[in-house]
Amino acid sequence: MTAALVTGLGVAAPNGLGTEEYWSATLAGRTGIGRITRFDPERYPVRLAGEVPGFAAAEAIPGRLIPQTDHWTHLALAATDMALDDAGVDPAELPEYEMTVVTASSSGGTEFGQREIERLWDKGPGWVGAYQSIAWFYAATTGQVSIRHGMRGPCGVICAEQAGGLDAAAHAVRMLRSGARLAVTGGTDASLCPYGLVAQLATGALSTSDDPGRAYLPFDREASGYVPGEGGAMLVIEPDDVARARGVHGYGCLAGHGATFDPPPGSGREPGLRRAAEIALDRAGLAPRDVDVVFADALGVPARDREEARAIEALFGPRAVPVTAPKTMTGRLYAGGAALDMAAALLAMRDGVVPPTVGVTELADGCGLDLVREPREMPVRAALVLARGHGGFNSAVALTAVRRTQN
Amino acid sequence: MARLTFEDLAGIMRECAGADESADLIAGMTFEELGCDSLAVLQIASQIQNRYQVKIPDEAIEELTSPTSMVDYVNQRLAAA
Repeated sequence: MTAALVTGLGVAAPNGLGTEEYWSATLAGRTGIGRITRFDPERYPVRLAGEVPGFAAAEAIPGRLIPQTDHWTHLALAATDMALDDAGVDPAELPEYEMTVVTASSSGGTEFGQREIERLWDKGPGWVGAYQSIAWFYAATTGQVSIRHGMRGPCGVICAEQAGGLDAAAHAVRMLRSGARLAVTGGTDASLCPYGLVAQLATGALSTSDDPGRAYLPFDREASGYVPGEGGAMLVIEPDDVARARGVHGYGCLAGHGATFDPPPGSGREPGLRRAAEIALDRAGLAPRDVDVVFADALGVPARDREEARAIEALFGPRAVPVTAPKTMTGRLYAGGAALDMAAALLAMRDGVVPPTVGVTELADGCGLDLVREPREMPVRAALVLARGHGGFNSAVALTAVRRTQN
Repeated sequence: MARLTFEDLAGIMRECAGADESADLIAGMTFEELGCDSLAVLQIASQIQNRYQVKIPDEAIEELTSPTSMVDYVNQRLAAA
């Protein structure tokens, strides 16, 4: 069966706009976490976030699309352009019904929505913009990418919070299996406005620290929640025979995916993350010993960190696999987070280096992982990306540098 | 008396539809040719209603397929008011 090859990457991350900008910052351990500037956070309990630096929509996307779409869609449109350019693909030259778009979204267009709700409140219904009807909702990014590039095959959006980026990629692979020759997948999120932030506060999982270097410390004794961020990554995937026919070797394969849902709280049963990882490896035809690195979900909430460490240990054995969380430099990007981790894993394969986890100084009890804290040069042939979405979603994707086929 | 000029409309279109419109350009073209879809026209019409205190019913908006027809319609309504 045809393997799904990632042939293009586009990154809009808090520590770098552009794939190489993100990657060099990540290997240098440079964080994109800082005080929120998109609004004045003074009166809110969470004041730190990862914001994409130097993003100017007017320079990155067509002017017509700016007032029609939310910041989250602007970031995805820009990252999609990068990914298509990286893949060396001109969509105008391909059959429009053989291209598909599947993105993840978690918050939708909250900043756009906040602006329109303010108009409703201050001035009345006649002042609410017509584009509110299409800008806020989860499928807006998928729809705008599809329209902009004439990708008229079956499209979709998946909402599974942080797990969504992996689920979207898996669905995009299914689209290739059913005949698409190119899929744009991945995800972004950008919910750094008062309304968006307050909605995120409800989980109680956000860090209230004001120290960018200590606010998000997954697996650390001082873990105190996570920092939110905006941005993400877009990926172009193609059947490997199609890509190779045009002389493209790509970054690596989306070799296997598993998704599970947690048992109800209080059931005493094991959470579903380990099982999702096992399914992903099994579908990729990989054994745990084949995996060179795990990109952890790394929530930064002590009990959930221990759960994840237990799942990794149960699957691989004690300290048997390098684990990393470069998201300590971006914050959690929700729908964009796992997509960005896939990009990081593929870049790790390309360059033979595992990116670091920053800030963590002392591992918490029950988190006895081989946590990579400085860039580690080593061959990366297979990587496992883990993601958990608020509400019980678990997903895992196995990526391989060599051709593997999902069973 | 308030009037909607092509310059005014071009300014509203720049805000609503996010592209560089000039009064000269829009006078001879349809909204569709200018790349304005039905939502863009709805947005432009609602901005005009808010700023000029003129009512443009939804049925009328459907008929207003060009900047010229929009300017004529709005100015007739303003003159009648």
